[in-house]
Amino acid sequence: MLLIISIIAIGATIIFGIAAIMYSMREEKAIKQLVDNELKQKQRLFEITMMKEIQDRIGYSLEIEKIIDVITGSLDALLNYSSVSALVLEKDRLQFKTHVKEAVSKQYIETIRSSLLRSYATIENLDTPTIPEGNISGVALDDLNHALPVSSFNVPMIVNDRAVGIINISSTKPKGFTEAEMTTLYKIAAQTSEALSRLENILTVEKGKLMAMIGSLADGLFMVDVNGQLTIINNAAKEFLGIPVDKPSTIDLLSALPNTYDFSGKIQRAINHKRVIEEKEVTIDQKIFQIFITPVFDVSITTEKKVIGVSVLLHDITLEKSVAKMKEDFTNVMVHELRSPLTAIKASSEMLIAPPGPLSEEERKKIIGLIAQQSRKMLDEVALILDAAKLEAGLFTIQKIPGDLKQLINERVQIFQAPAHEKFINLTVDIDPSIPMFNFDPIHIGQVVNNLISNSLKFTSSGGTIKITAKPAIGSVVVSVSDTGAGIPKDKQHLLFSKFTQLSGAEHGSVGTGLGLYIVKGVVEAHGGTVNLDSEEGRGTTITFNLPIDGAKQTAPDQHPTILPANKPPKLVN
Amino acid sequence: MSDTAQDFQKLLTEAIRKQIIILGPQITLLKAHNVPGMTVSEDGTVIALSGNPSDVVTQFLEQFREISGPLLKKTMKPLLSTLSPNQPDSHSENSAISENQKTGSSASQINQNH
Repeated sequence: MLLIISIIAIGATIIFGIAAIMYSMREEKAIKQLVDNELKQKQRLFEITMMKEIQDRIGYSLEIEKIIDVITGSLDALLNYSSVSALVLEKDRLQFKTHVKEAVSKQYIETIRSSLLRSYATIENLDTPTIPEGNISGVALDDLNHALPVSSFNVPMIVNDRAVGIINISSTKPKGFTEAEMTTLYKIAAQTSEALSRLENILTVEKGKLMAMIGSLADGLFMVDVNGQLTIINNAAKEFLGIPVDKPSTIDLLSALPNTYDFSGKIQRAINHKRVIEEKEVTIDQKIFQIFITPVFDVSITTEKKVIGVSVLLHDITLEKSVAKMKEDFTNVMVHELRSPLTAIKASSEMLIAPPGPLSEEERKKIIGLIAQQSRKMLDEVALILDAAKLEAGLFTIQKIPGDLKQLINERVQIFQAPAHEKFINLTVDIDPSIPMFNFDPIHIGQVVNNLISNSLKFTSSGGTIKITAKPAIGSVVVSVSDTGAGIPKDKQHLLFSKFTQLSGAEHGSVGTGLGLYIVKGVVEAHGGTVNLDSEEGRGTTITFNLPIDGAKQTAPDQHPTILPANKPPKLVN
Repeated sequence: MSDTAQDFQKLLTEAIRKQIIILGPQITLLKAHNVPGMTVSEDGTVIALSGNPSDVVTQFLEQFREISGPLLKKTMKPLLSTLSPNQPDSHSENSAISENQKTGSSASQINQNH
């Protein structure tokens, strides 16, 4: 009986013992599980916090150094280490920096540095580069500490297939880091690298769009950073500044900037004072520019305005200035042209109203004739201005009727024979008799012929020749007025048919409104024709125009006119 | 050991030694030891392979893909090409691995490429 009780007791003890051991093991497992979970939670929390901080602090910046600073600056929350170092690629230059937490030796840091350089060279398949020593922060180094980085691992950051940075974490202790700790850092680096790759791609696309936009600007634009380095320049700026190279360097830009304007000083002022500098009129290489030097701010910083460079815009106002001068000259000429006949009319009328003595009938007639002549001159000038205004507004119209161009030219030439004779100028005419009757506006074409002969007379010296020819061509009549006058300089020929152009005739004692050739062009084009200029300075000028022959008739003129606005093709009248 | 297995072994050893330089020995060896069917010494030499070598390579690449996909693609081209020799370079390392898993690349591909 006692034996049975003993066996039962022993059995019970064993069972309880086993149960206790099992319970203990289970508890231990549960505690381990709990610790593991806690560690995982901690690592996950670190990962999330780190990613948020990277996102918040980096914004839209691709500055890899900043990003690495965020990661290395938060490592204490994840693991224990002796030093954290980084090799950073910024603007194609490698930089080494390290933060020391434990007083290690210089040799220790050198080992890490070499390890990072070898890592970079292996990733990029390059020879191991040499770089400056770099920055060391943290506790003071202790060369008596002979400990070496027994544990260390590198975390490369690959952005769009390029190693842009490598972080090294090291410890003097063997097996200083667990796989889970290291994996957490690799995850953060991978996510950051991916985000940076995406951001870089977006920025590359946006930069491409911006560059295309800047490139297409008619204004010149270039940008320099705060160190005066050229970052962007468009084609217009290269052309304005006479920079012949495709991708100019800062030195190319500096040597092209004119000495007449202190670009460097103004750029520095815009950076220092953080405000736009506007120059209303600066002459560079015979062109006139408006210049705007605008500071460019770092948009990622919202608290204070940090200038990261300046943009310089060159707006070419040469043409505007030239047009303004032409308008001014035109106004002066108009005043002169209208004032002269008015003065003559006023003086003549006053003589008629209150003569100082009795006037003979002949004298009276002469004065009245002068008044009539000057009034006509004024009316002609006013009609010219009105026609020019109509042409500009697109309201100019012609009235085409069948007419004889041969007769019209001959009549106009006759008018100018007397003044030509006075100037000893030989005025000849050569008209092909086969030119048919056709539809044109006789008043305005008469005005065209007048203007051309009149211009030739103004610019041809005594002893010269003016020749008017007219001949038929296929579907048109070609009329030309040639002279042996002063000719027109090549650089002024393109201005000749502009509204306010008044080529200098002072040396010939001639002035005019400058509207003549503008009207000629408008009238001929309203007929569907074209005007051509052939001129050589010192040798003479030939102006040729052609008129399409539409509705050509050999019979008497039709009295019903075709009315056409300017700049529209003429209708055929049958 | 067959020539093919030896070729795989050599390629894997080269890859591990390269990663030791790039990442450091501790993490590289930890990841290499995680690969089933591969025995690695402390200096990074693959001393034994068991099972299908291309499966080992797939497992090996998977371990390092967890560290950095772009790094894997950039630094393990010889190994990746053993899995999908006809894949264009633009294919990701993931697709290369899954392609291999689907088809089971033949060991002779190594000899063709190397």
